[in-house]
Amino acid sequence: MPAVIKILGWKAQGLRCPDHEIDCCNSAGEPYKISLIQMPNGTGKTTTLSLLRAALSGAAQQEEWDQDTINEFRKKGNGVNTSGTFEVRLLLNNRRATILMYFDFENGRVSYKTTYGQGQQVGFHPPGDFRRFLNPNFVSFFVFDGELAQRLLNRTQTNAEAVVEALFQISNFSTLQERVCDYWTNQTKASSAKEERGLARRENRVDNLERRIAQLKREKCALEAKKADIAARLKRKEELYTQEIKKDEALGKDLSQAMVTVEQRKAAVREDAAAVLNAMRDPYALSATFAGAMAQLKAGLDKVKLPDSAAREFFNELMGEPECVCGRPIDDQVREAIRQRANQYLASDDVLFLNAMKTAIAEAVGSSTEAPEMALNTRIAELETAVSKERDALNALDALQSQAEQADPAVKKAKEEIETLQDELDAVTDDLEKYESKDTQAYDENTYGIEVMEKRLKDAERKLAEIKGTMQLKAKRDILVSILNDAHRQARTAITEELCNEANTRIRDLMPYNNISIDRIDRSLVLQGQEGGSVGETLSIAYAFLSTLFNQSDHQLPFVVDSPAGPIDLAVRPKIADLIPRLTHQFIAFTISSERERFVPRLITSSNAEVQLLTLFRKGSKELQRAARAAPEVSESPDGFIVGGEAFFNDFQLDEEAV
Amino acid sequence: MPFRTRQDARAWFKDLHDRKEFRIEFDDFYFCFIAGIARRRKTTLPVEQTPELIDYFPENYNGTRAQTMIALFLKVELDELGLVLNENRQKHDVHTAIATLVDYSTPSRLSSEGMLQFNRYAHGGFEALTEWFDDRPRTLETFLRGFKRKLDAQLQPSA
Repeated sequence: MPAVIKILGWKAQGLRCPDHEIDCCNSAGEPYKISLIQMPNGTGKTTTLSLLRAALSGAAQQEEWDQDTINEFRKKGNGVNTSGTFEVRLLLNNRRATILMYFDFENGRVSYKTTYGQGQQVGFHPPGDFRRFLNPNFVSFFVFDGELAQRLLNRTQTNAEAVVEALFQISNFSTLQERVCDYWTNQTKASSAKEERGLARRENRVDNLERRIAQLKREKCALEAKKADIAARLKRKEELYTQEIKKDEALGKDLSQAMVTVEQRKAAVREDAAAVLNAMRDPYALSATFAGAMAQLKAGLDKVKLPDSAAREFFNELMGEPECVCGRPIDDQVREAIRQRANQYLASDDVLFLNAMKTAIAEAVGSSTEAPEMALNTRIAELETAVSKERDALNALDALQSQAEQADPAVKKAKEEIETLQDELDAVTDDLEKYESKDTQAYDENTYGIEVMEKRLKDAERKLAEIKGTMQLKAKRDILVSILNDAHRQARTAITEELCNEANTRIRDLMPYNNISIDRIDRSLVLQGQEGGSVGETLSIAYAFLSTLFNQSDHQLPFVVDSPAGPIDLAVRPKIADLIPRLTHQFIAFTISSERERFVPRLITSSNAEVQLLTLFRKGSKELQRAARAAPEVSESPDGFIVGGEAFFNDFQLDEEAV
Repeated sequence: MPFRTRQDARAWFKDLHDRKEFRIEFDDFYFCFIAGIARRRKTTLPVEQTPELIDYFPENYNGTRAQTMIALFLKVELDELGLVLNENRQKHDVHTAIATLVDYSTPSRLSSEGMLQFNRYAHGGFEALTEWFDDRPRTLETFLRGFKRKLDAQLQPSA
């Protein structure tokens, strides 16, 4: 069911702002669609907005405000004011609710009382259906100021995604997941292990396997690091060795040439080996014996006339006939005999295959059973020659290297070090092999193959789940959770994409020349190609986004803003004024007189309902007080005035509090 | 039903896998199979020791190569069953034996029974390889030459 929240009014007493009571309802008791409260700077707009936010979200209770924070709301001046109250009246789906905040400044405490329906409760206790809206994160999206507009772009200070989830109820997927997991947990808790000792044994096995796998992985990791280190040192040594040798110019030149020759001969060996391998993949080339065996098979099949020209299908169709091809009638007995014997014949596809096989044999060895092997042997001989040449080249290289080592002790030393490092590398490589071992015969403590151990762990986990009789339920849980995760992700993606597109359309309309747009919505709004914008741009983006957000949702929330048009260009203000009536069913804004230009008149004409215009100011200016008392709608408190009506609103010319 | 290789066979051919020409696991399988056919040796192993490969002859082994491999296999199987192909009176038995081992509808053209026996030759062939070679092969060129020599020795008629 969609949630409808309306603010009926509020009352502040003993707090930093002037004592006042605002009634947002008209004479019929219905909240005005638009309420503008004009307050000079310093009158307490920020305080009032913060109080509204705190009252609607329970922030003081949830965030555990400290003494300093609480004292910020204390009335200045006389210092004897030890307490204050702030009360907001609401309609929640047409049921009245009141939230009262009581400030105890002496003891640095704030307490809440919530009245809903018949009862009053101590503490902040909004009705269950409204909790997802009446919390600090969400409330900041419908009670906000320019600073909060900036926060929309900061992922550490806001969570736009959470608001989208709450507004469009995508968070239900998470709730469902939790319920599914809770159900599974309850079911598995409730089911007792069939054998207590068996359960303990299997649990221990799982634990032991996990520990052993972790240990093997650590060991393997350490060995791999050691191998990399040795390999690097070996490479450096080999480079050093080559450099040392090349100090003798003539020898160095011979050595380079010898290395090139070795590489060339190795390449030739690789090429010939590849050719031999390819030839050996023909089984008839491996041996004339094999080729002969295939030829015999073909000849034999031909001799016994296999495959038959008749295929199984022929006999299967014959079974359905009333008469055999010879004219004899086919009764049930005959039919059964045909059916049994039909299976002894190859199907027509099998006939095709055998014929293809015989053709392949004929093509491969039909002309000669020896020729393929002879061709392979020729290739092998070529490979032998290439290997021999490679060996010769390696020997020549070795000889040159030995010569260099004998001539220069530094070279010899480098060679010895290389050999030592190579031995170490081989040893580490051999050591590492055991972690790849597929041997499954040994006990866990003597098994080193990580893959083998992981398989055992999986098996042990399965057995553990089995003994608790939860395996099937776990599988179902996993499937369901996976489906819910996918659905959640898809819903979130689709909704945020649509919101983004719609918001960007509005942004383009508001600021056609600023080239600013929202790239995506995750925790915050992420702008395309920039981190932020001017205060005016940010506020416009916030309006565009929030109007899209609230328009798309079925829920109806009020919108309370401090300084709705202040930082916005004069040219853009009329567009904001046109946007606001469509934004929400209840818009409350705190303004100063300089915001009236190009905004308030347009707002009044754009709205198709009466706009409530109030002016709230602190006592101080005698002239203003006289004018206020003369106005038809006025309310006076010990330290302030509230005056209603368009005339006083438009004539009021005070942006800063009078000193 | 897939071809299956032995886990220890994979480890045995490990050093050859560094060569790009010998990277496919079917090469391991092929040489084991050939050794098994040459030695007429089959071994049965539990499935957990014989991981699955593909269920068809791969690119380097399809077409004529696959057909001649199957031909070799059928010949050896028929020999093992004592079926002689030049006697008409055994036609029925030959027919039945082949029909049991071949199935065109499968990707490999081998029936389940056929694949089972095919794999058994490969598993037995690995044992033959470990008897032919003192140590696992380190280079392709050494292995190929050694394999051919051992195969020739195996297939030579006994004196």
